[in-house]
Amino acid sequence: MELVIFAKFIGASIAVATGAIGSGFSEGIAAGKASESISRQPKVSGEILRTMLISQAVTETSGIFGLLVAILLLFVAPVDGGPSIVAAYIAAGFCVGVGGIGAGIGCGIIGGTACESTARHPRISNIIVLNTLVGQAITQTGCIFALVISLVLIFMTPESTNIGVIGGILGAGFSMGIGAIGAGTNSGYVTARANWAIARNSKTSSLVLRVMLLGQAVDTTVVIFSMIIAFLLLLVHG
Amino acid sequence: MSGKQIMNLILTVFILEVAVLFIFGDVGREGGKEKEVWFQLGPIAVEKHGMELESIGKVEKYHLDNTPADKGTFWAIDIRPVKMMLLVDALLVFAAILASLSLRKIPGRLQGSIEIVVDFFRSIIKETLGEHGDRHMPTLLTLFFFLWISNIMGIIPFLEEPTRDLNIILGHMLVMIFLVHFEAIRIKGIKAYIHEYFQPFFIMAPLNMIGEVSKGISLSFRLFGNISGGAIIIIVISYLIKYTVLPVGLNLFFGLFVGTIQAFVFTMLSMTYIAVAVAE
Repeated sequence: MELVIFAKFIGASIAVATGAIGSGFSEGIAAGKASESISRQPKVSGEILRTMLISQAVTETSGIFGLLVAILLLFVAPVDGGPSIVAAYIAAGFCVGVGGIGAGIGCGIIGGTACESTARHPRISNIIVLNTLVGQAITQTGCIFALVISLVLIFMTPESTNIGVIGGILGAGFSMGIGAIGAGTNSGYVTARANWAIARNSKTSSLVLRVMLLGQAVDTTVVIFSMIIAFLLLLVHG
Repeated sequence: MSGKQIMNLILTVFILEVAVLFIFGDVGREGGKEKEVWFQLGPIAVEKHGMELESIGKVEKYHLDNTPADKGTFWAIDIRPVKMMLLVDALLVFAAILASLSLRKIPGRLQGSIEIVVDFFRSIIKETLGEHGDRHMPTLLTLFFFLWISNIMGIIPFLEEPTRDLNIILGHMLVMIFLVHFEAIRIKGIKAYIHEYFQPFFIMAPLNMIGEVSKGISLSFRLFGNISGGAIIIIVISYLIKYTVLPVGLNLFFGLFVGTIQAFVFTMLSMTYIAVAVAE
């Protein structure tokens, strides 16, 4: 029981601390780009500010997921259990925290270019905001999968003392968490360039949206491999 | 029969159906034993145990009196999301009939507000799908309206989003993936369809197949994680701050904002998959 409480605290701290890295890092990027854009186009400063705030609100999602898992671990997760539960709590915190880094960075980059694009072509600011939101929603995929895996880890882990099962539980957390980093940042890059492309030639917006969605969907495939491996590892019965 | 009589008939059937499900829907549960459940995430039932959970009893009464279907049986159906889904259906049919009964050249409020959404989608679908656009517009619009109403339904007390249940989302995903492959075969022919899997080399076939499967997984789990994650966040934070002002803002963010975006993203991705499948 004491060991489980120890694991709860460690897991909660890892979740909330690593989950804050990505969004904290990249909200600053968005704000910096917004300042640059306002200095270039002071007349549309209101729209640029709105774009910045909306994109930052979505960027915070990965941080909020870390907070959610930390709160669940601290207040809701059951306190009794064996070594497998201890491993599961630590793995859940690691999974949602590290899994959020990529999505946070990616979404912030998108927000930054959204502000720049609005400054470049203020008339189509609605299309740019729409593109930004769709792109950010897809960029979050890895982070959402990490949340699903860590909820499964917290609430569905079986009791066991087998070292193989414990290895599977820890491995599932590592696989999903680390696997989500690259796809998150790169999906963000895709939408960032798409925003810029739309600002440059607004007539091609639907074509750009289509190519963007396709590229991000292929990019997400890597995260799905991680999730499948994580589920397989959770099914290990030593 | 006149239009009004048909409307009355359809409405009566729907209201009766919904009423019957609400009253007798619990019959399906009798087999399983009553478990105290704190939260259910589609197939995952989070049981209520441990001393900390005692204090969350108030949350449970709030809107989570969800008893899962018996875990042991595969065919057992959790009736609650189905009820909510039928409610959404009834609402959509009602709104569609109400808006289309009195079509005017100068639209009224209801007709106008629906026309805005339809026009917006028509322009996107026409540009993306081209000549195939008219064929797929009804499907895609129905999908969007259903998911949209489902996702934002949680902001009303005592109702919960049907999309919180993974099974319902998987059903929608299967329909859309089936449509994508059906259209690809219809337009290109079965030979060219199979040939596509062996592109660019023969050895890439397994990877292409995994890619097809992963399309469906990412489509469904994205929606599921967003909606159920938002629901859990609202419940936990509502409990921690004793239901003061903040849950209203959280409901606005996770219910209206995220729900609308996710419904849109689901529809757009389905549309893109169709567009890729039918492209020569």
